Amino acid sequence: MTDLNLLYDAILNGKLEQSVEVTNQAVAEGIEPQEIINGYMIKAMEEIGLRFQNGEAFVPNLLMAARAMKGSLDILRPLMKGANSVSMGKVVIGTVKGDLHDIGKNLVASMLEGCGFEVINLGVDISSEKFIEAAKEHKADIICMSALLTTTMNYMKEVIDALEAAGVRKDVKVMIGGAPVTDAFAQQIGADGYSENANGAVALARKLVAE
Amino acid sequence: MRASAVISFSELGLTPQHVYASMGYRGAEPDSETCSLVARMLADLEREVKPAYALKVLPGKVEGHSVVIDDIVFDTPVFLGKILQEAHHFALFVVTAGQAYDDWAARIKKQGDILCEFVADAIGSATVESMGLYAKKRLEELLGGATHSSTFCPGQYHWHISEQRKFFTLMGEDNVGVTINDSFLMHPIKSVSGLIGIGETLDPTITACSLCPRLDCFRRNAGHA
Ligand code: B12
Repeated sequence: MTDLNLLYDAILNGKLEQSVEVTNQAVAEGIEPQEIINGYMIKAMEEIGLRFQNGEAFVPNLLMAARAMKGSLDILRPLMKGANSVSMGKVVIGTVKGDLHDIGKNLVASMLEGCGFEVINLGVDISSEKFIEAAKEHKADIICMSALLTTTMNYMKEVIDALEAAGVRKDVKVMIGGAPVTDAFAQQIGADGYSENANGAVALARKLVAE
Repeated sequence: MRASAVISFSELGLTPQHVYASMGYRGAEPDSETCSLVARMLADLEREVKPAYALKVLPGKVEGHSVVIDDIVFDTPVFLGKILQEAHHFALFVVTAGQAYDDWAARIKKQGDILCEFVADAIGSATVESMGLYAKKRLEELLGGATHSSTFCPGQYHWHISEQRKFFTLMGEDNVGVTINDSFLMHPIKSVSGLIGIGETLDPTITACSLCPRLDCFRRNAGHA
């Protein structure tokens, strides 16, 4: 019988090979993918996210964990269908027009992906048209915008206004983040939520898709 | 007065510690696996990268809160106008990790490993930061001890990023291949532009970091831009 705690440890410590190996064993033994994911994998991601938030882990630890998580999810995904689908929701993410800072945005993308979201990463310098187009094309549940310049964060409001004008605002939740962004700013521009770090972003995304 | 050069990576004196700092380690030592990954990637990049700088010293003044150089009037924020009030010359510079870095980073990204992608990015940021410090040293040599302010960059705080257009007009041909796009972003991506005031009464201890409210920033006083 596979000890799934080893999977928890593998993801927490960012060990891709070990993670894949234990997952394969568990699948061979017929353990339900949902049990593996919810009982162990997501818990490990939550723990590493918490350690990062508390300054006990660093970005590479987070990325290695997300990489190990993704390796296991790639094995489990094809085994799950319909209501049991492993996707927690679809997210379109990008750094807004006029801005190139993408490290934080990529981190949020990796964490969301690691935690079971399908993520479409549009890159940097993204216009409202591109956000809207991608949201429609992929039937996204959430649009995530990142801005690191105080002068580009205002563009987030333009995107939200453009979503309204295009008649799609009601179909999609909007999450924003980046160093200069605050909760008050998010409310002021009519976003559905803000988080100051990648860990909080996952919790927020979960909450928003459940609404 | 102007100077520009493409320099060799080794001249930059970039150490793994710089890269760890860029990765957010705040002085902590990464695990051995991460350390050897950084070392490997630094060695890989060293063969290709061609960092460069261009700098130019022009006469100018501050009118109201606007820095004025060669009839170009910058819409500099009030606080910056005050800091630079007594400047009679300005040094403008552009530093870049170069196109070869961008190409290298794009190749790494294609390989699809998020950790390598992150390390490549941190190396690029550390490279352009070191290039900035190198250019500043070079400027100080040229100035021969003249008092100057610290560096301020278009896009910082309330100095709107669109002012990059005026900045690059002034740089003219002296841009070491760095261009700006419609959104005023520089290409190659790992580039930094900035301005330094020159004048006897200027205070170099007033830095962008010392004015920034983000006290917990992992790059506070680390020499970015
Ligand atoms: C690294 C860096 C660079 C790198 C870019 C690397 C890259 N690929 O992104 C380089 C050196 C190239 C660079 C250049 C410039 N930069 Co710069 N840069 C930074 C720096 C030091 C760190 C940013 C970072 O990577 N942080 C680490 C990540 C992990 O944190 P984060 O981005 O905040 O993300 C976290 C949260 O915010 C949140 N989050 C982020 N996005 C999202 C999205 C959602 C939806 C959610 C929920 C959460 C979320 O979660 C993340 C993880 O926890 C910042 C200073 C700072 N501390 O922010 C300046 C900074 C952002 N840069 C600045 C400027 C001005 C520039 C330039 C315009 C300067 C110039 N004139 O040359 C240039 C532009 C270059 C160009 N090509 O045009 C200024 C912006 C000022 C302002 N507030 O308006 C800053 C603040 C520095 C400063 N004080 O001067 N930069």
